[in-house]
Amino acid sequence: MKKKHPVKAFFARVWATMLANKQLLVGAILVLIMASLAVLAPVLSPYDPYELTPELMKPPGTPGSNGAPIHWLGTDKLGRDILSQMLWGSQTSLRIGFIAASIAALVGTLIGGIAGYFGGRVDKVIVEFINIFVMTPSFFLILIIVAMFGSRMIYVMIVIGLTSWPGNARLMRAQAISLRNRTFIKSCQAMGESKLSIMFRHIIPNGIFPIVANTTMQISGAILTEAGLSFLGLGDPNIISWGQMISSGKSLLTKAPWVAIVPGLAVVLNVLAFFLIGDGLNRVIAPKMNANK
Amino acid sequence: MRRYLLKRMLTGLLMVMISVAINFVLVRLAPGDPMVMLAGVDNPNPAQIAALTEKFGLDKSIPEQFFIYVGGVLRGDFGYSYVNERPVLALIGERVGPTLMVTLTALIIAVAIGTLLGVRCARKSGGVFDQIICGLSYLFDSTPSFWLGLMLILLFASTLHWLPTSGMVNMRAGYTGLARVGDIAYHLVLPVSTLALITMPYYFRIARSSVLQVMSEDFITTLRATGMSEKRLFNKYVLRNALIPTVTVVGSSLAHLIGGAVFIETVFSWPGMGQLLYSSISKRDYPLLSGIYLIIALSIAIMMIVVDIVYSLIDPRIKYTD
Amino acid sequence: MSLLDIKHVDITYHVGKKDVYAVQDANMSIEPQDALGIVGESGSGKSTLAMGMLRLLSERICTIDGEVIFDGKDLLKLSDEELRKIRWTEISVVFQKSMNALSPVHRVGKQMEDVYRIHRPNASKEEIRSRVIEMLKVVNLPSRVYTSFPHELSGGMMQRVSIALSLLFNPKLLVLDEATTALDVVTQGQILKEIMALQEQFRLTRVMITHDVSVVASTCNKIAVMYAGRMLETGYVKDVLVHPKHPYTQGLLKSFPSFNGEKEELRGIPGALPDLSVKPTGCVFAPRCPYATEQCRTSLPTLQTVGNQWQAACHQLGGVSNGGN
Repeated sequence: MKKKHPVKAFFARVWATMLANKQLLVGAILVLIMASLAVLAPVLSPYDPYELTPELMKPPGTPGSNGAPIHWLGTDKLGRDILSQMLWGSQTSLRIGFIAASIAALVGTLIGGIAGYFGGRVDKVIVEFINIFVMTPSFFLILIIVAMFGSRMIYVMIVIGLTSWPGNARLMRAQAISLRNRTFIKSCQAMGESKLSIMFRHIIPNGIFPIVANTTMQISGAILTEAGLSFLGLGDPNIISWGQMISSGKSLLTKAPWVAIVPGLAVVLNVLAFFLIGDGLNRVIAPKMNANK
Repeated sequence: MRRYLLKRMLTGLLMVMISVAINFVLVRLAPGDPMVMLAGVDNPNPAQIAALTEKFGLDKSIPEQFFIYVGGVLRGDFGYSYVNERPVLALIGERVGPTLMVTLTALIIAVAIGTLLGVRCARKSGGVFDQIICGLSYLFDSTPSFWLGLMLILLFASTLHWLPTSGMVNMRAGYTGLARVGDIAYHLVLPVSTLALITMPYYFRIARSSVLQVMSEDFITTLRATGMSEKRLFNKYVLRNALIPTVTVVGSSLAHLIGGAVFIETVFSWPGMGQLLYSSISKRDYPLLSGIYLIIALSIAIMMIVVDIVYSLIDPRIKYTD
Repeated sequence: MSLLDIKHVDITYHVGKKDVYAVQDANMSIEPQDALGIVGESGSGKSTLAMGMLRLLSERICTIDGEVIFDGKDLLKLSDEELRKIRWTEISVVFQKSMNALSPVHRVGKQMEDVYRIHRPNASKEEIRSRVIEMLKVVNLPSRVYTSFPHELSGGMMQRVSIALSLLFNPKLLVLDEATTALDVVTQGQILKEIMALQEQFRLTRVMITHDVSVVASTCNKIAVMYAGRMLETGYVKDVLVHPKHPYTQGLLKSFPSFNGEKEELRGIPGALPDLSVKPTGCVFAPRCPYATEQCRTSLPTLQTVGNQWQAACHQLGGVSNGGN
């Protein structure tokens, strides 16, 4: 019996699929580029993103005054360099996406794992709770919490994370239910391993793949939500975010359209990248749906 | 079937109750004086303070306050906006119409076109048309609604001058009667297109994948082997089975749709609930904010139940699942 | 004259850039009122052959070469419309997984009526209804099945519905694809018995596709043994299953405790199915065959006649014939 470690086998499959599955490849390349840009923002930015230069609302390619670097993507109404803001803003987007989605993954995996593995009354209560939670208009919940509690980035991340776990919980629950009847889990039980230990050591590691794919999708969702909050004026005023940039570009739409266009394009690309990866991973997990390719 | 519906209604009821509870807890947990939260103005005057203390029983214990609050909601009291000096329900009441106009129109368009495209693409999956539409669906799914709205304004209103940039009516023209209806429809084009475009990918993908899934089912092979024509097979058997998921997600996508409407109304200055919400945020009008949240939770619960009833009528299997 | 003649049929799946040779050079002829059992492990190509000859495989994913002569007509060359007319009126199928054999959201009776209307478009409502109810009676189903949804019936009942549906037009040829595999042993036995009775009653010619040799032994008069896309041995059950000539058939029989015993996966022969995307140079069974020689690995054996309509494809026929039981 050939038994590769499931995680290793999974990544081997991911790699093989990536070569065959172009959308996964494109997504991965896009994410890599964006992650490097975000990490290298301090080095790559030609300007301090907060620096108010004398060039106000100048189109892309305008040279800076007194030999200062070219504003490759133009400036906003306060004369700030858009390229530099974009680079620093990408950090915000990625950070929010990753942290919020990780919180959602953690909470969802735990709740779903407990429901699926423990079953019985626990499961019934949790399923009902999930059903209720799925119904609630989570975006409005996020909105109202951020409006009342303040828009510090950490709140935004936590609130997005804590409102987007139900999908993960459902996936993990289904995984746990199918895993708990497998022989290797039964033998662990027979050997007297505790339920919690089995859940953390066997159920969750073996059932985590769909969560990984879903979490990638949720990074997209979190980035979109944050951009939306910022657009409505609920972004953290102390950081640079693409949503806020679009928001500030709204009133300049006719005079300086690039102020809104550029960060919007970045949001689209960023979200698209994670979306492609998540969708690609889902195809690795469920090759059946691949029949259309 | 009755059991299933009762269960779903219970879930809806619980959802509304939990939303009420969340609302109550949030106001009291939020940093700062709950009085400010309840008033929604920074320096409530003594009369307002007295009125609020009386109304919410702020001098009583927390559980008592909760029952007073729930009692108010049950009587249809969704709060009072001191900023606007009007009851929340009245404020929302005059905004519901325009919002429904945008969201329902967009929903109908998105479901119709999305489903049609999905079915079409599934029938010829892998073809050029399919690949293009799939690509577009990813793209629009990744686009923030507000930004798409801005781009459409930039293109169709600012540059081409085909359509108005914002508002619901042309104030200066002061149309009446049929001309007014036409004017509203004219103003409706861009907001509805934006909302429909970002909602469409969802229905497109569901229709496409469920048609593909149904076409791979065993019973399709059976019916094909009987010599049934492909046309009848598709129109009667594939579609009937494949459209069930579309119906079921209409309910769960509503929250998403109304969320999208907030942005669309903000971008297009459309005088609906979304814009009301936006202004309540910028004015820190908390009573209005939580009132809107409750109303939305309530309407979503009702819509979900309606969808569940429809669902139980079109899918005979539902009677047996609990 | 034979009712169905399968001549040099090759079926190739196109999976991505790879070609999978699922069936190669299948030859078989079936006389009227024969009952042929095609046996093989999963992946042997037996279902592919049956679906392929009825043109039920998507032409986008596979190609079929050869001839399938049914009642004088080559099924592979008929136009879609001609084929459509033959389907169900002359050839019908009972599929595996009968639970999913009908649309879950339409009532059983309505679907059967719909099928009846395909080939009798001018039939009156009364006629259609009475025919459907009559067929349900033939397979011992209560009339309430008519208004039931598929999920309201048990596996055995749905299997009976599938059989009733397949007999709607008194077809000449009935193909049963693993039709009883998913059922419990008792129900399987009952249904097999009924099928044989129906064969008598309706003068059917029957093709059974199964991995279970005991089903073939108890219900068929002819057998074709398939392995890795090839027919290795064909002939009368009374010959092939009593004195198997091919080492694979011998192994297949050894892996079953007795003809009427429990079904069991093929464990008697070590090794696994070869990669079907590689065209073998020698005998497909050579890697697992205890008698394989250099000749077996390098040259392809053809079917040789070893008795009355009894053929086997093996280089070692002389040498191993007494290796069987």
